[in-house]
Amino acid sequence: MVTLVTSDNEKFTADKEVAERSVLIKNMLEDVGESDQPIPLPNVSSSVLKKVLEYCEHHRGEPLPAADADTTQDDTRKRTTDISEWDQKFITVDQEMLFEIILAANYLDIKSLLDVGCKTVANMIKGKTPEEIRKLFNIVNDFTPEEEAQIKKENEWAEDR
Amino acid sequence: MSASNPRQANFQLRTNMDWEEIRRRLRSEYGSGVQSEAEISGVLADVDKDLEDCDAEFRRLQSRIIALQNQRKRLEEYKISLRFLRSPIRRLPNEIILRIFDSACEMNELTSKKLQTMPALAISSICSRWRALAQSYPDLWSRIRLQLWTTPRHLPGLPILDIYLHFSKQSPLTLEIPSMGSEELQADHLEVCAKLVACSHRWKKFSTEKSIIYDTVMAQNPRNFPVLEQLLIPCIFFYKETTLNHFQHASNLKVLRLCYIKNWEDMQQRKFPWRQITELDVAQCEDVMKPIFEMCNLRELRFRQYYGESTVKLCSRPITAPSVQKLTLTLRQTSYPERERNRSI
Repeated sequence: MVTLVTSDNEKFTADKEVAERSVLIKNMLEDVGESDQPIPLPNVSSSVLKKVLEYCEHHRGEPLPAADADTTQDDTRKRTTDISEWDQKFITVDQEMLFEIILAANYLDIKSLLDVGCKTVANMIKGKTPEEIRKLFNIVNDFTPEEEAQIKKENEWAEDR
Repeated sequence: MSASNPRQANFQLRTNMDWEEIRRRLRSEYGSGVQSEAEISGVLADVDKDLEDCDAEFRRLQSRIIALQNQRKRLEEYKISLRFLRSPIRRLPNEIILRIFDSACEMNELTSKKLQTMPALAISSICSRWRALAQSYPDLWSRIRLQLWTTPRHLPGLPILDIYLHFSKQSPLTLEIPSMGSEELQADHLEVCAKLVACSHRWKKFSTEKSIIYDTVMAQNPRNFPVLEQLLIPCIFFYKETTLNHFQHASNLKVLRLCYIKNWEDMQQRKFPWRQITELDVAQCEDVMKPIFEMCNLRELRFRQYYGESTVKLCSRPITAPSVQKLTLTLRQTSYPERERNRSI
């Protein structure tokens, strides 16, 4: 078992096989060798780590993507926005948690979870107008008048601009 | 009165509006009882001045209301901007944002006239950070689908294609030109085809379902396809194999999808880089294919029934394709996928 300590000082124990789906944790465990020392995760809060461990537990035993995976296949994988049913249900969370999970997956180096998070956000963007995207993510139009004029010119032919 | 206190009037009325007195006079002053006109004129002049002052005060208050409305609007905008600073998506680093954009921009339908189906352009219209990121990532702009028969007539030459070709910089292009409604190409279409040919050295994937597009593009004699990996022309009949000679120097071509080639010429004359092809998708499996199967380093082979034919054209004798690992036979409504074979068909 591995003990993980979150940014809000909560301790979690997980099977080594589950925790090692994070390349960061795997490397840390390899560095410290056989030890009962808890692993500090200062960039991950307890609520987020709970979700991350739920994901790792579900995907326990699945092959990890190779670091030197073929780039063409990797490109295709990244762009295909299909998400499995379980992953879709798992990632149905509020925006705050969704982006926290993405940041945690990036920090912990869990490629498949990062993929699920990014694809979910990509699917939220797809098929929307700029105004709908701004509204969805609470983004402010901060263009200068010159940029605004340029954008208007670029989009002049579009009916839904 | 202080300008900062909008509740106080900015002037004093000169007129003393004594309604009882005026009513009494209205009922009694007539005939010989009419009093001096000069006295009434003096009061009327005061009333006119008061009315003018009222109008001025009204205008002052109106402009004050407008100023307050503007101030409120600015406060609302400021509040939204402050809230945006707390927006969770802002916490994502650029490399993750780009990863999301990459997934969101699978394909850009340039002839749709809708930003919703052109994610690269939509993303670059959101905010300054997203615009800078989108414009710094040519891949987003390199996946282009053109339904040429819906080219907007009022914008000849499809200027949006120029924008995409500009922002895609030197990134390899994925070009999809699906089936057309019309058999005829207009001048606008020819202009678009010329633009595509001008960047043929950047084609990574070229896909079209209509021979008129293929013929128009190839008539301009493009010969340089250094990054072309996929050539997908599934509904096009070729009468001679030499029609593919344009691609003889396509040194990265690996995936080929076509319909039939009626006349396979002598092996010695072959210029198409068959040996590179690892995935072949055809609607014929006749004896004439034998040398092709033997020559290609096929890992994946797909036979598909052409929609105009009642059966797949099959060979009379078994053909060996030693390197094939995956074989798929697709009938019009039914697919028999992934019959794995290691050594032979």
